[in-house]
Amino acid sequence: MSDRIEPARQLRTGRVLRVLAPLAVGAVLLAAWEAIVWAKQIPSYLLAPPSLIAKTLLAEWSTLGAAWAVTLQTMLVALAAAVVIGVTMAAVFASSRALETMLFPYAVMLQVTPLVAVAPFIVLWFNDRVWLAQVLCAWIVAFFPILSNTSIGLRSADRGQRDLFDLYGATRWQKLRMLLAPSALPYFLAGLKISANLALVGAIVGEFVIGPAAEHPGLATTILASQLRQDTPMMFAALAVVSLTGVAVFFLVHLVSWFLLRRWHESAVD
Amino acid sequence: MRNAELQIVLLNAAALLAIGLSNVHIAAAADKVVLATNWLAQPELGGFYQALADGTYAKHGLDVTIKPGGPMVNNRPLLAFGRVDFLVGTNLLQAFDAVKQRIPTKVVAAFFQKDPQCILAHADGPLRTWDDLKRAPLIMGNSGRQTFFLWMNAAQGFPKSNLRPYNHSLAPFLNDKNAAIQGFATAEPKRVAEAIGTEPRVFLLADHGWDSYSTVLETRTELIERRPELVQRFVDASIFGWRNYLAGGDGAAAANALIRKENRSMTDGLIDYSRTKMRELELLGAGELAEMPIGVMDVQRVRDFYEQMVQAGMYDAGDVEPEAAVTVEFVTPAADGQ
Amino acid sequence: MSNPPRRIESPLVEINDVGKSYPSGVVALEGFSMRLRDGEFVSLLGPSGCGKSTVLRMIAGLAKPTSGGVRTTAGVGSLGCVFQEPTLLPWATVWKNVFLPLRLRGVSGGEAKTQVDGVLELVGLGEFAGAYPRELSGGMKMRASVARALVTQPRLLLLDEPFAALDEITRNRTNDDLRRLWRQRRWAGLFITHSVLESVYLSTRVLVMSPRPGRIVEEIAIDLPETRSAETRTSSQYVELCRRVSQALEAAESAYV
Repeated sequence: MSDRIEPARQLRTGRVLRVLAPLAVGAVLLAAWEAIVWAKQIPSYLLAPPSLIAKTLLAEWSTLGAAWAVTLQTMLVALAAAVVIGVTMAAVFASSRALETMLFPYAVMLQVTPLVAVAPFIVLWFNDRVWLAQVLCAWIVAFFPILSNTSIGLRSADRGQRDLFDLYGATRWQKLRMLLAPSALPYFLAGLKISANLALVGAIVGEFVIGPAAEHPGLATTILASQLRQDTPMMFAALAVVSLTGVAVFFLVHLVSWFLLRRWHESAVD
Repeated sequence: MRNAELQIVLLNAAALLAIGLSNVHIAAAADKVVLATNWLAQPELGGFYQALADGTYAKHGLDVTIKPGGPMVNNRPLLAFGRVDFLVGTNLLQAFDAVKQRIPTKVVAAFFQKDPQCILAHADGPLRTWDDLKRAPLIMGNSGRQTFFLWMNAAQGFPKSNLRPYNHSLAPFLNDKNAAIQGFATAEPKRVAEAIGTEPRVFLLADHGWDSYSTVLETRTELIERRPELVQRFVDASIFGWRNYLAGGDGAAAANALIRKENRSMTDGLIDYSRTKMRELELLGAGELAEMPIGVMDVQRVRDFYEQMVQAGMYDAGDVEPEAAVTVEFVTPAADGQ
Repeated sequence: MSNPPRRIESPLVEINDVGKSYPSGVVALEGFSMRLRDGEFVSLLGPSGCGKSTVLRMIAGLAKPTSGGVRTTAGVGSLGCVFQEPTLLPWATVWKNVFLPLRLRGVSGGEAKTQVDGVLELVGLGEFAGAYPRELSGGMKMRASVARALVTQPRLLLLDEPFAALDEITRNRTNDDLRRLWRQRRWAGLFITHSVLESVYLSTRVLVMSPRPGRIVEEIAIDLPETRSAETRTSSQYVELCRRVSQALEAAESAYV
């Protein structure tokens, strides 16, 4: 029967659309952007057309690429720390309501502290280890969604499933590993999706407010320098690198999430 | 009054950009003029505040608004975008960059003949000479790193690895006897002295070969071509402003009151110090104030400075026609000068 | 302690004068006593809210009585439990779900293979070992849950209204299967339900409970033939037993209104 075949085809069409649709939107927007710049003869120092940005991106890749590598490294280290510390803290909170009540307000405080205000002090506390201070900034903004989501996730295990584990005399560790952790996984992954891009933003903002590492400036410095030197195409090229990185990171986490949940979680099942 | 405004709004992947091109005014009454500066209200911009406060701009048929800069404020794009009519630039590098990027702006007057940019070291610390500084942790912000430090690095041998972040706070410097920090020779020594009791050692970049003009006045080429008389009036009034501001006595009271109102962290002590230092260091020129050719520029000096920057690796030889960055038509040169 | 004579089997579960009240003031059970022997299939029948699930949770060790004693000679190892919901782990295959009780005891997958495969065949899910719970129908999920309870070869199987959510056709079929499994393995069963028909069809004995605070008000022996089928459901003996159980239930309820 046709409606037995249709869903499979729709599925495939759906997947193709999910990739093609944003690309098409992007292409239309870029084309419109390019056309307006040409039609109105807007000088490139006011608004660089996409073609010039792309050209700059390629021509200046030695500078941009090096800065990108620095920012990416800051982001990845901060994100890794956010995952390790966020998940560990969530596990501790899940094991003790008292500890959670005691410590959670401080996690919130850390989250709402304006980075701009504390950044100069962070770098002093770190005794001029600029890069570490940047990592700390990125970590501060990235870790909370992971902590918060994983905490909820660890508490979200089904009541009946908890009974089941108790019935069979499961140890705390068995419960954490075989019940709580898998229950928390979709929540953790949702937090990771937010945190990954926050870590990128944090790495850039951190460099803005703390200042660049002396010999290894990142993308924030490229942006500041190109502003200062009035090099608009370069600034847009740097922003393009940031945007593309953000999109790539998002899809990567999305892919990992889909892979881990595809067989059992409604969010990932087609 | 005609006001044509073109707005283009574009969505890009990263941000929504709103850019407007607005035009200046053709009017019979006082011309509305906006001056954007490179920092918060301070005595180092005192001439402009003087001309505004004592009515010199008004007398020249100008209705002037001053838009201050500051940390995290970048007024420069506003000039190219037509949002402001004049801009105070810190040194000549950005004027060269404008030429390089084909941004139609020009320097029309240079108020500081000598850049007050300096490096400070502790009076009781181990850094005694310019060469000592090359071995010290150097606290410097981004704009310094992207401009004069490139010269310090390439031409003077200051290593990049010594750079430490600068966040507009003297604390990291006050904490460390071995550290050096960027500053304005007319202001930071006083701030350091107020904090720890002793004035620091001051090393002026200008004394070691950094030959840029500073506190330069820039405007759009289009305005120069369309309304040269307006540019002339603004330059003339600003020169009067500077002359009156540095003349001493009570003449500057109104300007200083305005500065203090705009910038709460300014004190009378800091203002007095700055005004004294500006004279002492002969920032606006040497000799009697009354005869001093304030704002004057020498095209050959601009060329030489550009050559210096080429040698420091900041530009390729053919990048920029340095004389295109400036025009000397608005300031009468000194009798003996060019 | 002296061993009781072999002739009278030591009860597998012995509940004496148990009371259970909650901090909210609700008294769930009061003066509740019952016995369960090896090889019996006993249904605990009562109106909803009468505390029958509490009895099951106490036997399973998931709840403690406020007063009185609950004794069971079936330790953790020889207890199986089927909850109202299938409570399958959604991230694990049917096979791994059924393997879970053994895994929690430290049995390796290799060692458990025969047992898990066997019990899946028994409930008719052999072909679905690799499926995930979300791919199963409600009845199949429940059968997986039964398989999981049976995989440890328990002496005592506790079932807490396991088929309440199933449609009647599926429910009847599942009851047939359950009856067959009981006859094959002869575990003692305690079946919590509020369905008269179901309790009579499955059990050797039906215990009727009063509304809250719950206690046993009537015990009815079900002397239907060993082999039961669709025909049993239409036999006059079955209908008569159902009528008696219903009356007992109604009497218990009306006494409290």
